[in-house]
Amino acid sequence: MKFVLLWSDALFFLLIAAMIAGGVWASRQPHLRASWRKVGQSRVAIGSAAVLAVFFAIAFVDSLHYRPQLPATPQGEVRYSTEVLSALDALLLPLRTQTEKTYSAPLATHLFAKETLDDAGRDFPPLRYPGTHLFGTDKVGQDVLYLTLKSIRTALLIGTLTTLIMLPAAIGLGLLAGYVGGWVDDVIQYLYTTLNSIPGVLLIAASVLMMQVVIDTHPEWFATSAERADARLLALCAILGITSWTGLCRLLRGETLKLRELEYVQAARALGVSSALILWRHILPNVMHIVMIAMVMDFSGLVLAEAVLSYVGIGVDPNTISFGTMINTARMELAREPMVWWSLAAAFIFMFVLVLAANLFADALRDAFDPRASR
Amino acid sequence: MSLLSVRDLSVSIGALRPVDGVSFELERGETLALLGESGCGKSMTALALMRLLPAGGRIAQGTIHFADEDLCRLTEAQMRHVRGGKLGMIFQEPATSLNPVMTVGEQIAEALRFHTGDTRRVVELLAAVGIPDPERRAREYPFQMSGGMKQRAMIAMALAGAPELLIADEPTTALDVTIQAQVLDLLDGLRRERGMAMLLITHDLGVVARMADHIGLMYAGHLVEMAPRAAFFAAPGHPYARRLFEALPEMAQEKRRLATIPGSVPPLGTTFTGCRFADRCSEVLPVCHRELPPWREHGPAHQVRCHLEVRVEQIVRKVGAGETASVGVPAPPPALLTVRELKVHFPIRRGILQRAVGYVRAVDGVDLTLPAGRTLALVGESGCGKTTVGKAILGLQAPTAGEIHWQAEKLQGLAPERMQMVFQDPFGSLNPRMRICEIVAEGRPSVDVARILEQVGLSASMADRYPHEFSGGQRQRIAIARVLAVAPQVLICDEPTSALDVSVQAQILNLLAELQQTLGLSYLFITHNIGVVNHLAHEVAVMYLGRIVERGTVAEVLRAPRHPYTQALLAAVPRIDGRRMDVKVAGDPPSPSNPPAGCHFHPRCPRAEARCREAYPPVVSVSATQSACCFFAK
Ligand code: SF4
Ligand code: SF4
Repeated sequence: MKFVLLWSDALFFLLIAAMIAGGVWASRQPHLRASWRKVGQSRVAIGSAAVLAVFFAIAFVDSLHYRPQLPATPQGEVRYSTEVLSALDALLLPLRTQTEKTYSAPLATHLFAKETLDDAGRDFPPLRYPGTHLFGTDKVGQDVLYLTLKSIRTALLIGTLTTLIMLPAAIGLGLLAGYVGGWVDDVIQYLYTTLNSIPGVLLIAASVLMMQVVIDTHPEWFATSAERADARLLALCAILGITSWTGLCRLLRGETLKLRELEYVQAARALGVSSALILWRHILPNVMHIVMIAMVMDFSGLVLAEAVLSYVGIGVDPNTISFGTMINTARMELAREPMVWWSLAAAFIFMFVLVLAANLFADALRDAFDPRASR
Repeated sequence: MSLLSVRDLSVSIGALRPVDGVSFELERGETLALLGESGCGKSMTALALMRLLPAGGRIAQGTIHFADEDLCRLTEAQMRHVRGGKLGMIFQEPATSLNPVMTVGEQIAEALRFHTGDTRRVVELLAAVGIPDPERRAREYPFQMSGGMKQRAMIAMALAGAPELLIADEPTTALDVTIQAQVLDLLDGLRRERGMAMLLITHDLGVVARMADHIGLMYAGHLVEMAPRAAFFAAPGHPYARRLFEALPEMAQEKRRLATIPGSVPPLGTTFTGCRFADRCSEVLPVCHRELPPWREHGPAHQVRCHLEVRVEQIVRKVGAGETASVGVPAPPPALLTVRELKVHFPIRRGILQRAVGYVRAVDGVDLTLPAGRTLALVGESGCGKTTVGKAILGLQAPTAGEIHWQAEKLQGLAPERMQMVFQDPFGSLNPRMRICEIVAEGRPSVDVARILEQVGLSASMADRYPHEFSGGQRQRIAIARVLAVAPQVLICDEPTSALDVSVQAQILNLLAELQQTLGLSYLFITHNIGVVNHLAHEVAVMYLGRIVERGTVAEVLRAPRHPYTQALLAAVPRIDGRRMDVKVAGDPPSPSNPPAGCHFHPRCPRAEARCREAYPPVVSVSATQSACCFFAK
């Protein structure tokens, strides 16, 4: 067995570490503690946080990648499979390996379509593992529950890494535009109005296609197909990040404009404190609640964006399991007669629960942290 | 029977009791002033009368009889007819009480329709509240009117239902003194004309002296003294009332320490046994902590809720004690800071290209000199540019023209080691996310925080706490500590006490005076409060529309003002001895983007002549130290 650390894994671990560190830091801040207590008192917040935690745990286990060892060759040489598996795959071994021939309905005992059987003419052939597929199986007989569980990592990565990529730009440029003003403000405003005025899908489609060309012309960069899919996933995050920082940036610019006129900022300026220090000490901590709320709100938007983009074919690598690719294949399945509805239903249920939990949590956070909402 | 009779009224909001057992009566045609500092429950009492308590608030006990009806028993639908009908109310903030998307006329018509069904009286009402050109004004939107105008419109609306009782909650607190004087005159006139009763809610002793027939003093949800005006001002019975008078800067002997009340008003939710003032009372008796003091007769119709027996004759209160002429002011030391021809103009930008179509001349040629160790007060109404002057001198605002000299050296930009600023709002001037020690050490991280905190009268143990744990007065001390840490020689104080209660204001003024003596600081004191000027300043400069119109020593400017604007400003300040001067100014200050030609004051000046409209008057020296910009200053 050989461990594999994909780029997205590294970033994901980093993110989780940062979230834990941030949580510890926030719980030590007296001015935040009261707000966190308010979050803790809300039953909705606790419930949605628990759901999110389960999703994150699944994604975490799914990010521990390795290449299994192949049976030793006669020469005694150790070889590894080119297939990259994750700890989740190992945990879900029965789900992954208990495949059928083709479609079967949820918890069915027989295949979905009739086949010519050896002895008795055409009939529904019995399943190899009857009654074990909670959400049925797909065209190649893979368990749909397994697919949805694997999709979670993709969705969470897109939702979180994208925010991570856009945050520095949004915060940095927003604060700078609001605080420095003048031509800096003009340039930044020009930048985000321009970006905003290009239809988002168009911009993303163009960048994704370009990125695809680059990846396809350099096959030597990637040792395994998993690495290639991973690179594509990261690139998608970057592209989404670049096109989605404008909203938060504008919010932060406005808030900074307001904070800049506050007397404690004026007092700091009068004391000769440098602008960088004022931004760091006075402005940033007082806009953090906006950043946090925006992050959780954007998260659900991004999860949905991935589904839409993959559906139109400009999202993740077609080999990456994601809600988007599942929905994409479901398009054909829905057109079949009789209809195969369970992959779409499974994807829909999981996405719905994830996005709903994220939104409820965002609302609870806003109620607790936004000083205007509490009044 | 009296028009309004409140018996044992208590208001509860959750577990809090902002009003606790208040009783009073109000006759037709009389004015009762409920007086008190912030958080004493006076506004809550008014809202309870209107049955407009905030969410979660309810009348816990007591009765309100108004014109033979028990208001507590009425249904909400019946109450709507009483409210705005027989019972009118005007609020502190005219800007937020009017609907910005309806014309003023429509809003008054709406009130008329609801209460009388007759909407033709709009213009008549606007005329009654002294709005010039009422036909045109009725078609205007609130944003087209000045603050004073809006307050008049609010009064017109309250009059629509021909109320028998008008409740005025701090009706002039948001207004400038000259406008305040106009609005107070209007209210008093209307009351007399219409035989209304008026319940005036205020914290301002001057306003009370000017308006009230009877006074109810509130403290921490209790009424503690009820008295006719004359008796209250001649011989206040409650120790709290006496301390309040002594804490007024206009009452103090010049340049003496002000009497202060230690601490601040107890927060809502404090549980009391005994007298609620006991922790701050200097005359406290052992019994005070144990037993709630009973009402005692102090004089005719004058009751006091205090254990202490004081006879009227024992109370010696010196009205106008501050009038002593200052004797032989020593020649001012050489100037530390000199400001010459300072101008700050803000461009007004319009159109796509953002071209400047005009300028707001916020500061338009100001000269100032500030000697070492002295206090120069810069006085003026809101919008006259006084804060901008302070910021420009400090370097927070780039001047359009003019020079600032530190002794012989020309200053450019900030000079943090020399000049610092104390701001108005003690809640906005401290970063809520920083601890006190971080705030104090902000300008100079190496400073000894404990020593500085003690210097401003705070204990060193507070260093690790956060600003929200402190009261307004303590926050202002922290803000002062922060600037003292860099050891400046000049402090620019921008209305440092205007957001504070009288008793706390006195503490801060004393602290500033003390620091001036021990550290030799110079103050540029920006304020609109004449009482504070009288107490603290050595020299005064009066500003109107971006320019200084009169300057001189405190004695000269406050006792013998030469500029008509200064005279009007001083006359407009409500005095607690109830004396009235009759120099009146009409109208509102014009906009600094389009100042009137000639003397800026001529549209409002009672003495204006033809030449005032043509040229700006020169500086006329009256004495070695006093000068005024008026053709008739001599
Ligand atoms: S009852 Fe006692 S503590 Fe209260 S005001 Fe009177 S003397 Fe002071
Ligand atoms: S110059 Fe004329 S208008 Fe101006 S203040 Fe003097 S008298 Fe009034």
